[in-house]
Amino acid sequence: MFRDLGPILRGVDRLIFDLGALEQNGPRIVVVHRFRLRVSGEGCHPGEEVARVLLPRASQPIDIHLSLGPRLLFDHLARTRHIPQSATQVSRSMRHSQFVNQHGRNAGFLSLRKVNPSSVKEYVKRIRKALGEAFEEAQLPIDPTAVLVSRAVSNEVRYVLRSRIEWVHVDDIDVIGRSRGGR
Amino acid sequence: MARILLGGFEEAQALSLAHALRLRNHHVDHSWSSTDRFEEHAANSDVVILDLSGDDPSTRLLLEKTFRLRLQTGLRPMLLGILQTYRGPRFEEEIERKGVRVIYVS
Repeated sequence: MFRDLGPILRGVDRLIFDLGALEQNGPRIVVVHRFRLRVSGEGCHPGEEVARVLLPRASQPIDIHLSLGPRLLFDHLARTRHIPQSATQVSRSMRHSQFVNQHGRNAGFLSLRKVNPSSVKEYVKRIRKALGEAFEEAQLPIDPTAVLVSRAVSNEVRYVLRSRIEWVHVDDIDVIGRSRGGR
Repeated sequence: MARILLGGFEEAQALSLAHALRLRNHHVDHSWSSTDRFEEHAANSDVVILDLSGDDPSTRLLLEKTFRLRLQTGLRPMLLGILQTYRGPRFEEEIERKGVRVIYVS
């Protein structure tokens, strides 16, 4: 006999809550930014770098392996996830985004990628592939196309990210070009 | 209300747990062994709770069957593993990576 059933009952509640959240909002994904200036305060600011994209798990987070271009696109889609956008719209808004144009500047270098509609389509494929690999590693039976969703509107396809996104900042710095490795 | 399947428990434990879950308006089923009907029950459940305390081959089989089922059917059933004894970090890490939420009870 169990002396205390409380932990099991609370565990069941939590699982049912997680199941509802996963079905309604998709998986939780963490985007790690680094090189935020301490003086900038909270939130995300131009000059930071999108360092990693992670799928959090109870044991340890799983990396969603994305190279620079797809990583920038993922971060952009995450920040604009309430607006389905076509590849053309995405490339235009990324070209005008201060965050994208100054990516990595705080660390003393710019790491940029030119984004056009065809590269957006290619990056979408790579993001889905990386998501699929991460979900498989996490034993999460989720279809990547249900997370990075394509919606056909007349003769164009619009992309929208269906996921709970969280941004985490690490390695904040005091002065542009100098990292102090603090958190 | 959720549909919950219990597996690998001793009868007295399963009955007390099922009673507590029913008081919370959950629908509870038992699976006493790794029978063919386990998959059928698990496929219709939201949560499967397995007693992983002992290194029992029949419970391991239930665990494997549930992993396979999750890969085929989607997110359901979610898996809760109950441990009454500590089986080491490697075991815990291994099953958590496969999506099992681990709970220790006395």
